[in-house]
Amino acid sequence: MWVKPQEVFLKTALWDCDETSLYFVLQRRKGHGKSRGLSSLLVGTLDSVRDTKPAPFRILHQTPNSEVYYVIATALTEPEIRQDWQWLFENVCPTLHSFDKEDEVTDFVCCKINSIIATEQDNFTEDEDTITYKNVDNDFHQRFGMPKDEKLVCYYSCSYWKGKMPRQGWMYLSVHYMCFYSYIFGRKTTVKIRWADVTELAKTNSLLFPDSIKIVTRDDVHYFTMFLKKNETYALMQQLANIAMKQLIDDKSGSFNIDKELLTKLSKNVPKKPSFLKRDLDAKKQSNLYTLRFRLPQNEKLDGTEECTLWTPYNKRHNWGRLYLSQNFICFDSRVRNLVRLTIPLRDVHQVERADSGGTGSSGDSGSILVTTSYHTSFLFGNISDREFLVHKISELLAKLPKEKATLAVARKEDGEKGWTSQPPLMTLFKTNQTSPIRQIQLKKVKQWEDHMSEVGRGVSMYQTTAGSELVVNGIPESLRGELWSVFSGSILQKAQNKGLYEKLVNEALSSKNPVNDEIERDLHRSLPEHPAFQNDVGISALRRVLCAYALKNPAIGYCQAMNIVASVLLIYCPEEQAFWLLATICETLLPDYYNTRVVGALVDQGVLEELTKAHLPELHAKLDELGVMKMISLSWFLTLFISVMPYECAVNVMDCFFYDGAKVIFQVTLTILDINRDKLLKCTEDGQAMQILNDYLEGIYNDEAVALSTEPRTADRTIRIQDLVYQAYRTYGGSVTSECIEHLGLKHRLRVVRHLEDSLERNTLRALQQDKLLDPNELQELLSAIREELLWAKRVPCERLEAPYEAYRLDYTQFKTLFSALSPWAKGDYAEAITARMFKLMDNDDDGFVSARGLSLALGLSCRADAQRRLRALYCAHAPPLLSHLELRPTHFTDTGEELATDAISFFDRSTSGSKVGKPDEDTKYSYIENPPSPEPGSSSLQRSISEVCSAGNHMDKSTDSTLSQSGSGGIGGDSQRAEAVRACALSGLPSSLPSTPASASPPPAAPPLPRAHFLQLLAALHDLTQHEPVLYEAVVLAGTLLLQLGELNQRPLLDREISQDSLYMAAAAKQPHFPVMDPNGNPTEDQDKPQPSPTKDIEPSAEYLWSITLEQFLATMLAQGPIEEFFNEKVALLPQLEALRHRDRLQSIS
Amino acid sequence: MSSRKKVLLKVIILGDSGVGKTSLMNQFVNKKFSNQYKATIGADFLTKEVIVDDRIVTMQIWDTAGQERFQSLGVAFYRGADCCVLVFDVTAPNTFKSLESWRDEFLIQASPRDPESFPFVILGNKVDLENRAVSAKRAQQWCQSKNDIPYYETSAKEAVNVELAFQTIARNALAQETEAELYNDFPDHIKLNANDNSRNKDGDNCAC
Repeated sequence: MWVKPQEVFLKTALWDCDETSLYFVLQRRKGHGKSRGLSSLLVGTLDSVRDTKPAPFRILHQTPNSEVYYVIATALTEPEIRQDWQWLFENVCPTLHSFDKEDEVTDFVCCKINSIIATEQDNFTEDEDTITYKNVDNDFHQRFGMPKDEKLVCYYSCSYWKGKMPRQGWMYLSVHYMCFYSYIFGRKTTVKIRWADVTELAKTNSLLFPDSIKIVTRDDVHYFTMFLKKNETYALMQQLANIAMKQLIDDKSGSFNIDKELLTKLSKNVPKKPSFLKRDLDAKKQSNLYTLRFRLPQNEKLDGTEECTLWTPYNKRHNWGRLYLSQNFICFDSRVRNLVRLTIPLRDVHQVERADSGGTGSSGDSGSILVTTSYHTSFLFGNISDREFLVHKISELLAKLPKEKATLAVARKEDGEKGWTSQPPLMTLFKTNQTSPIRQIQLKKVKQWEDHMSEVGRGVSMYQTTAGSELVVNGIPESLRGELWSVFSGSILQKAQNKGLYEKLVNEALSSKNPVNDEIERDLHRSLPEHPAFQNDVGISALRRVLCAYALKNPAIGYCQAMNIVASVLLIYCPEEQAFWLLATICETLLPDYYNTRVVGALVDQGVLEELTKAHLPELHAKLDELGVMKMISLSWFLTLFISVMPYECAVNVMDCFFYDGAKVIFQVTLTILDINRDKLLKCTEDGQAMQILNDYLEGIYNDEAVALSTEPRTADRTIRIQDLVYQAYRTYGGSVTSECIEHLGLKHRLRVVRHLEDSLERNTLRALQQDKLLDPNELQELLSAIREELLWAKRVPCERLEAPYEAYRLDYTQFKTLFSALSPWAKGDYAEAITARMFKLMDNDDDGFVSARGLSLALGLSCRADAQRRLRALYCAHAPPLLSHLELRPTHFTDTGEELATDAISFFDRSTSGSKVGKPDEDTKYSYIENPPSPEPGSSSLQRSISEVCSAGNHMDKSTDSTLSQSGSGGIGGDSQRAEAVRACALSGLPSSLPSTPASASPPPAAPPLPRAHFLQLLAALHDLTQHEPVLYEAVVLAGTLLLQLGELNQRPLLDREISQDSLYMAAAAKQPHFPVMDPNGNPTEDQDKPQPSPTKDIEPSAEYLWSITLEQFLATMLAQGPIEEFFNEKVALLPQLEALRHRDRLQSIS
Repeated sequence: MSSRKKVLLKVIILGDSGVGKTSLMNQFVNKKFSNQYKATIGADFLTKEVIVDDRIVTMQIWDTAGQERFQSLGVAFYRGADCCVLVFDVTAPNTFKSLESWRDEFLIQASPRDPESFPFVILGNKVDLENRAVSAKRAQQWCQSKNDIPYYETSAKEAVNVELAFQTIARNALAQETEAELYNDFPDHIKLNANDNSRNKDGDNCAC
């Protein structure tokens, strides 16, 4: 295979020469084929250091007087290389003799080979990933024990500083991990770091580690150096870490969607990257920058860009810049910053035509296209190098545009009366009394804007120019704010893309009961109370609709205080629906993550602000840091866009710029305010003083061009015109505080904030778990990290919820099983699976298939730390109905081994009670075998499913059957879940901290229901299994079991006398559920024959089993009477060794 | 310890959203009630001079955001607090239930030198409303169980018990402050020195 000619210096070091000619050498890798021994080892090491596997054969080009060699071909097999060699001899060599100079020979050869490669590539159909990448991917998975679905993104050569020694090797970057592998002289070095664990990522340059990338995790610091492409590597690492952090914030499950459309993307010049994923990530990054720059909806994917000029009619010039093309938009941004920017939605495009030279001007004589919109405006792009391609591309995108959806309109009809009307801008309904000078100013401004827009156009596709920016800085006139905010922020595009959604959301939100709505309700009157619009139901209702609809649209945010304040201002200037989309744009695009449940975005920007202050106002930063003021100001300033700290009529001017230029404006204004007050702040001695200075200053900001909203007389001295403040902010920080710089700093602080949040979550969880007083703090700590590890491995993240900290860690059955069976002494025997499943059920408070961290810690605590009585009670409760339902007694779902064992145990006990009757129990066993042919162990997933089935199906069935036992007579719809709750409470009773749901009242401890026979036998079988290993103990269990079985029969009689009517109820239920294979009462020998029932109800025999019962008290008393049992269950089992073992296990092996 | 020294007391008001923290603060400081407050974002503060046992004391009252998602962000404001006021709404049982977590959170974040004896005051606000849902007895019991925290039933709207409650707050905070002076290693001593300085210059300088 021909390769792009590359210079090599050492011709023979690692290679043997097979053939030599004047200009070419054919070489074979040392250690390949013939030679063995030391050189083989040496070369093997080098191979691992340099790349995964160089091809063993190659052809070099060389000229007699040159030291430089060029690799021009490589091959894996000898025939292949021979073929290339042959070709060279026949085609190239004859020509070479005709050259005079050796340089020319080299040039010719290189050129020739390059052209061959180029032709070959044209025919080469593009695969998703190249072959080499696939090999590396393979290595990567093997070396680091990665799960199959872990995707390698890219790999780079670099060195890792282990101690004082750099190790040369390869860095592998995958979606969730950063790995390093080196193999030098038989010594292997590997590093494996999960992105989610990274707390700091930085380029450093120290004497010890020159020019390196530093990665800090909770436990360690790693340095990597000698990158070939350091910047690319670093950028990718940043991106991946960022993705991981964003996942931690959002808990969007770890899946990473590859954008297959990329394959079909037509743009040319896509450099070949080793991995498809890498290209995907690059494309994502590009698209992200693109959508941010033009304020496009976030799902917009950049298709390609092209250098060209844009003709701006207002100044009659061609402006150089770049044209961007994506599915729904054509955008243009000038090369000169802020000169002109343009967004054309493809939906509006009416026609695209080739504009031929002549009339349009001298410079645009080649490659011009004219884009005409349906509003009869045209845009002329010139100097396009490949016009045909672009026109083709645009028409293709136009053809792909989705048709307008009409579905939502239909939905609207069904609703009929909606009971509310969307409000126009509230300022049109509630007019403020403008004094005539102010009215004059406003009119003048409107005139200025009208003039401006007559030049640059109006709406989405207006040219956004420097003149426009100047007008924005001076403040947008009130009557145009709504329109311009929507255009600048891009929310108008969102609205256009989601026609009818707002109405739908409002209808849905208002008709549903949601705790968020209550929170919103509380704040409606605390949003902008000084404005007449919100002293009135019209405004309040509109605000309610907007906030409730948004909470429904984006549950990850729901409702965050401050959104009410921002939304109310939006409603003043915009029609209701537009205000809604503006709010959505602020929450999702302009201030991402700001308002989520942990206000992560605001915290991140708090850090960014501190950093910027440090850079621009170092002295002040030191002071404010000392006073702790930085953290105080930023939250309210940022979250409310200054509305809650500045007079309203001034804050809206900042919002003008914010919508025009994005979040950087807030930073610029903040820095300016700090700067202006620097001298005063430096003199402060405590935080309150500094806050007072800033508050006074902010309250004193004034705006002569608008009506002051506050009716109260101004107390603060006038400090600065808002226009001057904004202007100064732009002038001072416009150049240095850019969006890119904020974005860059954002990553660093996101790592920090996420770590901080995780730490505090962990701390809170530990604190909460310690209240159970079962496990030691250090055991809990280890346990929690094991849980976290388990969750991350399953590509899930702890997701903070509002109820209790430990609820953030939600384990499904698979994860619970992994941990419980690794740690608990109850999960060791043959019966482990059944006990694990029952403990899971016991701890799954809300029957949703997930157990919290507390659930697991309790399950472990109860099984290895609690005293004998509580341990046995927990076991008893785990086997009590309705947790262990009749459905579960059918062994089909559960492990057959366990079930057989249970049957063994049953027959054993039956034998012991019945004495001589041996034949019957055997029959019984046989019977169960027939019913349950041994089947392969069900996978955990099916078990998981069976648990949820049991939850639903079991409940419904128990309702009728077990009512005889509960004797409560309540039997309502919620009765079953109540009983389950009671059982769970019983299992946990005696813990210092009660369940959060149960109020600390003086009510008696909840009682567990008596166990029916079948349940009891299961419990006995479990005990039997746990104690199997010790004969004395085992005997004790057998003895206690026998006693209990007899006791159960005694219990049976009074019940039988009493509850005939309920039995008939059961009969009816049992008839509907005909299959209870193992525990079918008819197959039960003891009932029928050994102990003839003296009671008069003998004729309704089938129900007898359900009346057989053992109470918790009987069970505990009997069991604890046996010394060995009490001793066994009092034994405190240490958890740390198991936790340690768990940490060091090899995951892949444990899976297989 | 001089008895005529001017002292700055930092008081933090905590409690669920909408229980009336801002209103209480304004009633105490400005002697007026308004239903036109914006929801507090981050924190806000007011100062007032009061006389406690013949000493002029400047109370710096910090009003915080109540929404749950802001709860963990309070740490910036808790620093150097002398007293913590926990407010609940007597018509909303949930706000009473969260007192425990507000208290815990404060103790963890502020980590005062002696958590057991740190002064708290509980205010059951909105007693002017009809639909009362948390009885005085229940609140009283809880307060007793927590090291006998003083409890007041207030109405910011009708200025019931507000003055009295803040007097107690000031007194307890002062006791804490005085005690703190005994310990040189207490992180707050910088602040105390600062006050000494301002006292030396001019009495009114520190009217912040």
